[in-house]
Amino acid sequence: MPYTADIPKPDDVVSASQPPLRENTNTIATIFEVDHQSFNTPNAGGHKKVTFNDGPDYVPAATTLLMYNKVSALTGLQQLYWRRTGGDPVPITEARPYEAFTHDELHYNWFYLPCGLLVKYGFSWTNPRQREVNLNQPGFPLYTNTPYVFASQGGFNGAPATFGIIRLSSIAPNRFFANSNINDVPFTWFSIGI
Amino acid sequence: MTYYRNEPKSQDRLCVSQKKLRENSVEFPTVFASNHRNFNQDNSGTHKLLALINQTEDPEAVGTTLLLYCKAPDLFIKRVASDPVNWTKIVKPGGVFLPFNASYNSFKLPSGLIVYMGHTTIIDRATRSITVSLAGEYPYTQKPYVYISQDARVNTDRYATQIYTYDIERDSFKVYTTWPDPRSAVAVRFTWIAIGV
Repeated sequence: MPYTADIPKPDDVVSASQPPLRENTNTIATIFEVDHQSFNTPNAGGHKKVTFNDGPDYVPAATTLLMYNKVSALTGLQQLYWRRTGGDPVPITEARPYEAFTHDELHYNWFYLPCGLLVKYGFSWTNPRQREVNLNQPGFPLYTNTPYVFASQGGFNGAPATFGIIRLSSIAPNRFFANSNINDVPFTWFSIGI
Repeated sequence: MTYYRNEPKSQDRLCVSQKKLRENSVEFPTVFASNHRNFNQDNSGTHKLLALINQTEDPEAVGTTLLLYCKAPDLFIKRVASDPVNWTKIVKPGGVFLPFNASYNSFKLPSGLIVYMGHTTIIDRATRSITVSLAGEYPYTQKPYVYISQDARVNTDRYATQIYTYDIERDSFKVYTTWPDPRSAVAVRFTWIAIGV
């Protein structure tokens, strides 16, 4: 439905003004009710839903918080972002397309929490080759601060042959080490940070 | 530009009426376009973005509505007869994210669950234990679930001891260790996380 702005003109006669004004009245109601409760209904003006079109990284004005939809460079998928004044965009919905549990320490998953914290989780072993876990693999979102890291023994195939006690060490934004009292203890881990 | 409400008046002359209507016809799409795809565009009426303007008070949800609003600098969600949940705040003591400190960080999940996480060191060789405080900006009203994971600052400090949690309360929990480990002279450090309401 077309909408005509800047009418009626000063020299319009009434009969000429009425049709575009009437059409504008209808168009406003039709467009408004796409996402909102329409005129003359309960809760008129409230949102029924919010349809976010694909957009750029919008920049909020003072004391305003924005929500918008943008294709993430990391995942190539539409993500819902929020952004506060003076802050960076936070992709509320972003996560690595899930990779099923694997014994490959390089194939871990990650996702964002709504507050902006980044969670990564995966599997590795405490042997000398695999005890250093790279938290900031190329193409993954990066920690800029040292995260909290947790480890739990397990994840092997079959019953465990031995019990080990795991201690993490040298935790940094980009990696951590896992050591144990016996060799080659498998473990699952997760980290939370910014 | 002004948006005229309840205009034109019955006594307005035609030229006055035309001016007010004309200005409204420009002002309405201008304001509408701040958040929406505008008239005469593809997907008109849908949102480009949602700009939430700072509210100084928590608005009240009514009936079956659910509110999403901004109380600067944070985003809140509120359902009827419930407390608002801050989605975006990370409590960072001193404004700094602290992974290694006696203090800790906390935040809320969208469901309202409260998460505290911190890093602590057991230094009392006599009791082999420590009490970790959960007192903070988001107090638990029920006992949370607590998880711990042992760590150390340097890779050479690699030998692990056994640790476990006990006496979990709403505002604290305790951790015990079998330390001192005869192979290690350093203190026992651990990262912890608590989840609850």
